[in-house]
Amino acid sequence: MERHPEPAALPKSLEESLRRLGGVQAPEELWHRVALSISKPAEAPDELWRRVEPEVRAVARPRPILRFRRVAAAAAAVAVFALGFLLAGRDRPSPTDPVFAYAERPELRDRFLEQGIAIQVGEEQLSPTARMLAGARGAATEGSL
Amino acid sequence: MTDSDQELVRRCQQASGAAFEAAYRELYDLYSSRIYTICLRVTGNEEDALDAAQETLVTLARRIRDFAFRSRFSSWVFRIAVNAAIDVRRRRLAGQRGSVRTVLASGEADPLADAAADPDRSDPLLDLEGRESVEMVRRALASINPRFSSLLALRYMEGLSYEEIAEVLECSLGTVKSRLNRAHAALREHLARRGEGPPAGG
Repeated sequence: MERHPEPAALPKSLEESLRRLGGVQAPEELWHRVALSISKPAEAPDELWRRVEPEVRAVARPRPILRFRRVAAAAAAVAVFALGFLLAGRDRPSPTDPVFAYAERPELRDRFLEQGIAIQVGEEQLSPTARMLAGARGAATEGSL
Repeated sequence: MTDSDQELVRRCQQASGAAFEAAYRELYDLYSSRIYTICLRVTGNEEDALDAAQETLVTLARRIRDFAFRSRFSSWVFRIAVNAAIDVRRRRLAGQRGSVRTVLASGEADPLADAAADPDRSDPLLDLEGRESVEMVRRALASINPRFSSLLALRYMEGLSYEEIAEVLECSLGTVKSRLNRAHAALREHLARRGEGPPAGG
């Protein structure tokens, strides 16, 4: 077994001085600091989540974004196509067509919008082709997704 | 580690909430002054010692569930304390570059002065000469390499054996002896250079 030489001893007085530097009492402040650091913040009761959860679910549901500019653009588009309907005469498709039933029945439209089945888009949000197709069919720019 | 220490550590590991706080307070009472002493001797001033001791005790509280009893609990505690104290001292010195402030000019309470003021204490060592020499050594510890200061604190203030120090520092027995030799030499040289103690030879 390897033996290691002992460290050279210190003078007794020096050793004594070192020993007398031990045993310092920790100040009271130390406990206050430590207690503050390790104490956990109060936990919210489970009840809180039960109260908040329904609201969170409602917010998380997909909803159409109806901002003023979009509504204004959609209203303008509806006006343009309403005029188109008037001019289209006989070519107007049957009002039983679900797309046009949706366009013409506000309560159905509102329900579709609310359920996220349909969204309203501004004319400028449609591609030229989509715009052309919608116009050709005499439909509103509102369309289902 | 005594059986009561081990039982206390297990209580801390298993408890939560108020029960944990109660068990931890007992552990704190056992170790706080020992931790504080090491931190004070390595950092050289009360403010930094408080910071380092706080860091140690908070780490202890947060990690006590990880302690697996593979070494003495005290070794684990002292290792955290030594590392925290060395870090704090290094941070302080790094922040002080170019400043004239010195860690030696602290307002640390002098336990010897307190003891000397107590008329019931009649320790003959508490004479003026003794107090001066202790003060010189205190200053020297705050000036030499903090690794040496911590080693001297573990050896002479905590009274640890070489084997126990090796466990604290996670090094071999030979390394402990060699480092202790260098720590002795550094302390004596520092005192000799300042004309405050015996030269390296004695």
